[in-house]
Amino acid sequence: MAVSRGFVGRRPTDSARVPPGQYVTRDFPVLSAGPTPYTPLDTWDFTVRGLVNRPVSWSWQAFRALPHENITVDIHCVTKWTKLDTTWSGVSLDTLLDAAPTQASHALAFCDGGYTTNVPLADLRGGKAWVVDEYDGQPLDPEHGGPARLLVPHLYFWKSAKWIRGLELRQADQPGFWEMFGYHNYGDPWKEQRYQGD
Amino acid sequence: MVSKTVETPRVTTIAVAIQDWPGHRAGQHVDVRLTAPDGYQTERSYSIGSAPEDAYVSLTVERLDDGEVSPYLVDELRPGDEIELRGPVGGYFAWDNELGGPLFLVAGGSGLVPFRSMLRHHRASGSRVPVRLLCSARSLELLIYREELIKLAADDLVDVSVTLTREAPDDWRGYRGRIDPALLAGCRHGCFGA
Amino acid sequence: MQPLDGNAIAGVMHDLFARDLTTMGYQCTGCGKTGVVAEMAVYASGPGTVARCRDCDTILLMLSERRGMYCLDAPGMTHPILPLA
Ligand SMILES: [Zn+2]
Repeated sequence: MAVSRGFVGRRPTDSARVPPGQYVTRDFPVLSAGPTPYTPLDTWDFTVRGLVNRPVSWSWQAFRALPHENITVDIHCVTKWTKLDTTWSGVSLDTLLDAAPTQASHALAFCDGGYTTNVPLADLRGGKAWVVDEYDGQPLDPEHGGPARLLVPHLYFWKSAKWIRGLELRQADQPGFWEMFGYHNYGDPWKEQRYQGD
Repeated sequence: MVSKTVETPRVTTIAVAIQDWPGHRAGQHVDVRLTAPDGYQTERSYSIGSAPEDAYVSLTVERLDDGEVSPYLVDELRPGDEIELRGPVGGYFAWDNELGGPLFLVAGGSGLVPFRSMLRHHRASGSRVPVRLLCSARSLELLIYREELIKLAADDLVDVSVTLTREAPDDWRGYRGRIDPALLAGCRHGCFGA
Repeated sequence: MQPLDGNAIAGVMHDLFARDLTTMGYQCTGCGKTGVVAEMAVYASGPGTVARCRDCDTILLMLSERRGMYCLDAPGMTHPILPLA
């Protein structure tokens, strides 16, 4: 292995705000495992289903009418970039889950395009997670998951599923898209839980 | 690395001399791997722009502002430096004389790089198949290999068409706008006597 | 975002299998299309690399590097055919 003279590459940023192994980026990389879906807003809905008495759905209009919060958080991608102070607007998962009482312990987020990711319900409650439809004061761009994406900033960003259409509440955990392919089931960036076994 | 050639303000060609180079086919690419002093590594793919017959292997690199490898190759790398290459790789998008023709090559921006390898190989191997190249660039200034394309087009067998997508000189007689089905149809018409 | 083509995984595949795999033929389990690896639609920006069918988006190949190991899955391709190297 020969060292490339003068090459440093992207160095991890040493800061109390930045998880281990991450570097700070100022742009917003687009990460995708497939083509960008474009779902017309008049057919879009958000559904909580699974272990509930009856599934609950919100049309785009009904979702937009729910109380929105402004959120400023740091986000951490498993591909090692961290972006500080990102600003979003969206609906707290507390609001959405209150409409669907459940005994479930886990949620599997499902999305247009077939993507899924699993999150313990406890991580979606308590003001820690949102379904966001605005980024930086603008409607969320399709490339970044619009019309709406999950935002779970305390976990690696693949948990913040783009193009989300709902949550399936479950008693048993079920790994999602990347989790099935060997990425960590929980994904805490502060513990560097990137891959299975970390 | 042997030498650097500035193609446009953002694009530079680097020529490398490689010991025990197994040779490549026109259209293949290499992966460039960089290693930092602490062992950190990263790699990117670049098309080979030189012909198999050329003395050196050359890579044409577009500098991406938020890139990790291309700013290093364009700004930092100096003649005499060593870089690590993997390859050549990719046997599908390759052309050599024995495959025959005719060839219809369509490229935008730095997509032109593997075609320069093919055009040079076409000439160096004395191929008699007709070649038509359609390439797009934002402006004439941003078209890479400009002088060389003009020279290559002097060959009766090689037809080079350029479409400019952003700005064109007042006296521009080539195509305008992005490559789309209509432009492709117009360009194919009359191609190879069809 | 626009995908790359299968040439983007040529280097890694060559490392793993010590030969060119861009000319390997396959059939898509989603729609039956036959093609070669070079024609796949490759999404390389995510945590892992995903190669899909150009016609029906079925995931043909998945590839990721983790802690010095490569992990390869081929959930959507059958009948791999390799020309002699
Ligand atoms: Zn298919």
